[in-house]
Amino acid sequence: MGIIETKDLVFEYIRRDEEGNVEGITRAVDNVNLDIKQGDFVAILGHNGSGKSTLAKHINAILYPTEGTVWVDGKDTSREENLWDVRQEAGMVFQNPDNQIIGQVVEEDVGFGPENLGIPTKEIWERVEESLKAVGMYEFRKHSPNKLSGGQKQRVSIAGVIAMHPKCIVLDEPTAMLDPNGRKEVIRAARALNDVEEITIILITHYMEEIIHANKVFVMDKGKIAMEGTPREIFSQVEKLKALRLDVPQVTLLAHELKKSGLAIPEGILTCEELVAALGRLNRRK
Amino acid sequence: MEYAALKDINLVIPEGQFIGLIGHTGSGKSTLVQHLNGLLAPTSGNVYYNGADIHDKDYNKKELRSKVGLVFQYPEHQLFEIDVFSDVCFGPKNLGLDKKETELRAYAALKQVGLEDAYFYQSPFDLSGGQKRRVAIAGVLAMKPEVLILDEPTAGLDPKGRDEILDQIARLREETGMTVVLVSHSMEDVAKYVDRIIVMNRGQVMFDNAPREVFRHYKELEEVGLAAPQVTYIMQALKKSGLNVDTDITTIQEAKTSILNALKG
Repeated sequence: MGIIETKDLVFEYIRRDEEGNVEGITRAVDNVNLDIKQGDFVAILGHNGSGKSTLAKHINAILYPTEGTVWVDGKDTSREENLWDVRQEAGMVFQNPDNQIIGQVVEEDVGFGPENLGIPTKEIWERVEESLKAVGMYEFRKHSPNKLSGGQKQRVSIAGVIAMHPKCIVLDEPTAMLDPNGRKEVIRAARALNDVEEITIILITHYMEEIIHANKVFVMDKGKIAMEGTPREIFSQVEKLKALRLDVPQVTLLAHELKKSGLAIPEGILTCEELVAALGRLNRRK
Repeated sequence: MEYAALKDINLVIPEGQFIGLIGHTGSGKSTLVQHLNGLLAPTSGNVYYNGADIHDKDYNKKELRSKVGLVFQYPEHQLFEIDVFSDVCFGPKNLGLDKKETELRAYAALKQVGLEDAYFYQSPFDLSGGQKRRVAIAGVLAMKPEVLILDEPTAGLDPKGRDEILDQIARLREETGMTVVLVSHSMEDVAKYVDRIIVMNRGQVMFDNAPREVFRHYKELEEVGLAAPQVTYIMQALKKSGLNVDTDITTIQEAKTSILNALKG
């Protein structure tokens, strides 16, 4: 069994009008079956309203299934006795860094989680140190969080999650509010945690170029998994992604356009280097 | 302790220009745009609108704010009315316009942002993220501004929603001759739409030029937390590999043409 598994997961909520009368039921997640292995780097794409955040909130028991089951490390998230374990093992980072930071000093903010777990003080400090080092923010440990840039704040949020020693981190559009450098910092930190610490990463994003290193991509539409595959398999289907209100990285789109103009280059080019190599082969063959 | 969030800013924005304002978080972009409609007053220096100093004693600030429309970040958080149409009516109603003119303007503004009639009498809170954002922009358009300033209008939207909003703003500007200032963290979007880019760094203007001129300085941009569009880097790499392409390219279309020419040549 994987670190995260869902079986026939359905989530419905009731819509009510001003007076509280039931208007109808919306099925936000519709029969989703996932099997995510420990150490995977998984990306979830989907347009606004496709159900990705609702799905993500099931992974650390912020929401419970209407039907079906979610297991985190083999534990059923809807059973109350599993709640603490589930929330400790699956951490979550949200879009707006300013809504997630509470401490007056960076290291206090990072220590908040383990302190609440009742960890001895000495170990809390050890965890704070290793977590800040893991996201490259150790030199800022004595700083006030509100003086940091957006990317730095997000990395502090991630450190706060790592200090809980989770097996899995769900990042729900962590870069939506950041400048280009901040986006790079956050993605680099997530990849390092995945590579070095083998923490399972689930990344939700609207920036297509951020997920080219994922080992699995799920695309959601109307609460269902509409596409599933490696980044290359997914990004080879430019037209289908566009129909799902999504996009591909600029390099993939450029390669796709060049191919449509008659150049013999493969679909699903993901990096600048791959495009340079493909065009280099054509140029030499001339 | 005093801190200069803006320093020595000298800018002239001609009517009808489409301007991209970029800079890392904290570089002063939002502070700058809040000066343009008089929400913030300069510590020293002056801001002129059509030649008149907006902080003169007898200057009509209320009129200025209807002429220079500012759409804040996440403007959908400011929606509050019971239905979409009432929400968009709020601005023109407060300008003191009569009911008929208010409603005509609200209708026109909702059409301008491409929202279908079916949504007009729904609660704004039942709409999708992109739709809410468009309602909020319509609320500013209903004031009939001459200048539209948008502070990261596409943050958090899916790629299609992002393109829809920017395409609509570009079309609107073509039809009405409105001046548009777009604050953005997406270099790709800025490159695709604007005629002029202003780069802010530490409260000062670092570059102010056409996109291809600005993105030529990609190394300096990286040093201040920014970047060029991915396609500019691709062209640099292709040139280095020996393919004779134009390296000042900032959009996919230009890149495609340049690569096809280089392969023929």
